[in-house]
Amino acid sequence: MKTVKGAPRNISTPIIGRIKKGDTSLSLGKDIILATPNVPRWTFGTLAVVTTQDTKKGNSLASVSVTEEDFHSLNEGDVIRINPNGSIEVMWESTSQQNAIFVTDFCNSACIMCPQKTSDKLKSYSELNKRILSLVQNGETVEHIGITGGEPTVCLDSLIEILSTCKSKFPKAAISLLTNGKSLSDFAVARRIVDANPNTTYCVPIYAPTDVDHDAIVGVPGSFQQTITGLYNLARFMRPVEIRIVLIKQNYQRLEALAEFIYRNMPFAIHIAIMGMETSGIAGDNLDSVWVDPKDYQQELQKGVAELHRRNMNVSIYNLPHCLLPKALWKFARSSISGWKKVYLSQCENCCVKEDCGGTFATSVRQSSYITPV
Amino acid sequence: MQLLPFTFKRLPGGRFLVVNQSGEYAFLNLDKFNRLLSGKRDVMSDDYLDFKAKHLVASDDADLAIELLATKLRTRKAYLTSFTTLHMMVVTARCNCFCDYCHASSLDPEKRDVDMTWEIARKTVDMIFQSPAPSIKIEFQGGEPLLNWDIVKESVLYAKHVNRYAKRELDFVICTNMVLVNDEVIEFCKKHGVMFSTSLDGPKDLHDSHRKSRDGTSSYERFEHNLALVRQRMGQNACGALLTVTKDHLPRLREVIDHYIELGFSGVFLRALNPYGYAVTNFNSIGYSTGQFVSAFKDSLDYIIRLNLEGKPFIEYYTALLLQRILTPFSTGFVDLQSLSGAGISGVIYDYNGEVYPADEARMLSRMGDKKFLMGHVLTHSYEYMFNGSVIRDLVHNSCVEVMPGCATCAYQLYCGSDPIRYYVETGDTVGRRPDSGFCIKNRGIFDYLFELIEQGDEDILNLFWSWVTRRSLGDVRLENS
Repeated sequence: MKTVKGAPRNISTPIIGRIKKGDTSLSLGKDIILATPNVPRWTFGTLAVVTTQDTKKGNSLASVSVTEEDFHSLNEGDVIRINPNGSIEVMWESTSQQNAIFVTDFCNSACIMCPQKTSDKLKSYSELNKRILSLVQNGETVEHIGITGGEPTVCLDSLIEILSTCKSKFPKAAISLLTNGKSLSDFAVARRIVDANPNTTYCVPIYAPTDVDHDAIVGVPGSFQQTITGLYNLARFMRPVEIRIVLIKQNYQRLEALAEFIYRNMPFAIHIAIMGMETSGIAGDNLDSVWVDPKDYQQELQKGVAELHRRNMNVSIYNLPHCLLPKALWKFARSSISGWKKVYLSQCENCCVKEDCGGTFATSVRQSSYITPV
Repeated sequence: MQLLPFTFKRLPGGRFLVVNQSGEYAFLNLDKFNRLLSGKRDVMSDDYLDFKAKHLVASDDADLAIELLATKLRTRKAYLTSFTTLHMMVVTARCNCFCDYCHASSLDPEKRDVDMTWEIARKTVDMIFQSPAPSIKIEFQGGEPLLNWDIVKESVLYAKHVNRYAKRELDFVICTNMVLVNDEVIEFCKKHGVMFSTSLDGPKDLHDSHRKSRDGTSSYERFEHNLALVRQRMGQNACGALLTVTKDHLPRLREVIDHYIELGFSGVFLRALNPYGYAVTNFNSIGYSTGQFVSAFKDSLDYIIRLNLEGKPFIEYYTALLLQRILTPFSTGFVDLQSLSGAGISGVIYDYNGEVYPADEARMLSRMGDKKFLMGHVLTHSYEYMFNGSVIRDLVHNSCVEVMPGCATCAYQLYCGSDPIRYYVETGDTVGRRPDSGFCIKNRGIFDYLFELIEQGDEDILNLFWSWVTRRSLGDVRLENS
């Protein structure tokens, strides 16, 4: 998530609150973090202050000083966490429709190209998420929320609670639940999850058309069977399913076979997203074994997209800039990288399709060597 | 590793077509085919992974493979769950034309005792709504149904009345030679959503020489005039057409197709002669061998493909149906090519006199004097008696290609179907003999050719096929310029 670095004062434990911008120091509540250039001498009940000035010694107010630029990147209504080291994590961006809720860091898969570092401990961020959701305002204007992890379904009660809260608090929001679908292979679990929120699309990765290849990538035997069974359970409940394919060295050559497998076995999928890899986290550690330059799989990608498109399947390409795609595929490319981690490289300045291009991951430790202005 | 059930066929050039239990296919050379049969497991070989992805083999994932295969088979056979959808009403056996191939052996327009009475029509509509099908299509047939127009109108109104409570998805079609279409007919059909289905045999000379009107005038001129009227009032797609191929047509099919396009039809259904009615008595003048038909069909398909690639969209509907079965996992409801046979359980025909038959062909057979397939009578028999009776049971038992001699091992099994009534006409029993059945020769020939084209893999042709299957324009299917 978007993170800003600042200089802390009087902060000994993390502070979570909602930003209010302006000069006033009156009528603030216990949920409010005041963001103001001019530090007031005193405030009523505010949790902390974010400012561009140096705060004076002797003032007991919890505060953090940030640069002018960072200060302006924070918006009224953002929910932030100020950590004792002065970092500010934006847990909810009030101006964004790409907010995500992290249920847990734990995962029951161990994908070799996971862009995160997952945790070994089965622990949910239940309290934190409850606090964040309670702080968000204007819930009826929220159009989209991602729920992710780790693997969100392993903390089932916590996930159900979040889904239910979203249903009441964000009545119009479409939920994307990013899950490997394995827990959904248990029909009773699937029923609880689908009952909790009717506006949910289930975004489930399948990396290969056989258990041999898929399980080797996922790192846990039996995953393929569980994921497919989970998808079939979702189909039984007539829930919308999106299938996500991350292209890495181990699977790009069989993309065409995977396309046919999906069409034959999961024609109910409402969307297929074929994705470039984010080389951070575990993927960064395993870089040499998983890396393939997107330029080198253009042909396979084009064939895979063509086969799905022919079959009238709704297919998109995520995370790949235009310069790494054959022109025929541009219309399938979506701007899928969240604003806070999207970047255009220096050479992109002169590119004539920058406007349409989704950029690349700021978080990736390796970029394609073929990123070049069109 | 274990083999999952599949069928196969040796192709010219030493290659093999292999089809799994849910209709997914692969083309293999002899070497790969032998490797598949040997059951040797080289886990990371591309072949092994291909076989596995297509559910031709399984290892410790057999449970999952079988569940997926079962789901796909269930999907493919989904039409069975809705039971009888197509209900044909022969409102009269009279016709103002006497086509030389008339399968229905139409009678002189003066013979009024072969009209359906209101009593029988009403009982027929009641019977139709006893079908559990969520969608019901009532097709008015003849003879020429417009010769008994009052009963058509009454039946439509009554069916709509019944449907206020039955709440089915209700469609009407009238199968007419168009000669008697007039303003009143069009107005009524427009108001009540009755679509037209007709026959067009090509340019004027071909049409008039086969579709002869009894009063000696040109049936083509009336057809053309009235087709324009219908389209003007009800839209370009209000009327579909069928082509019955006779000996005269064989050398002129390209010309016929051009004529269809000229008249603004978006496609054609190339129908071979079947051994019923006048098509049998006139066989010497209009008949041909099945082989001749298949050659002409292939040539026509080539021509239609070329037209499409030159920018003239036009569909051959039978090919589109077969491709849908070959290329997609979905169910296709076409009563004449199903396993179990669609006779009775997907479509049924109510004759003018109240007799009920499982298929048009069975009614034609009865006109030829053999009432073997008579299911019952709308005035005297119950729905249960007719649809759960011995005629339907025998047809169902004897029309499942998966277990029929000659079909059970055929690679085209999952895309094909059976025609027990035709088999009965050909051999005297409903199971029939496959190798020399005209039905089998025709379909096998067409499947052979479609798989040949698919294996050749010309991108333009594949895109065209997908455009037919997914009902999109060629431009929408192509990656570029869409």
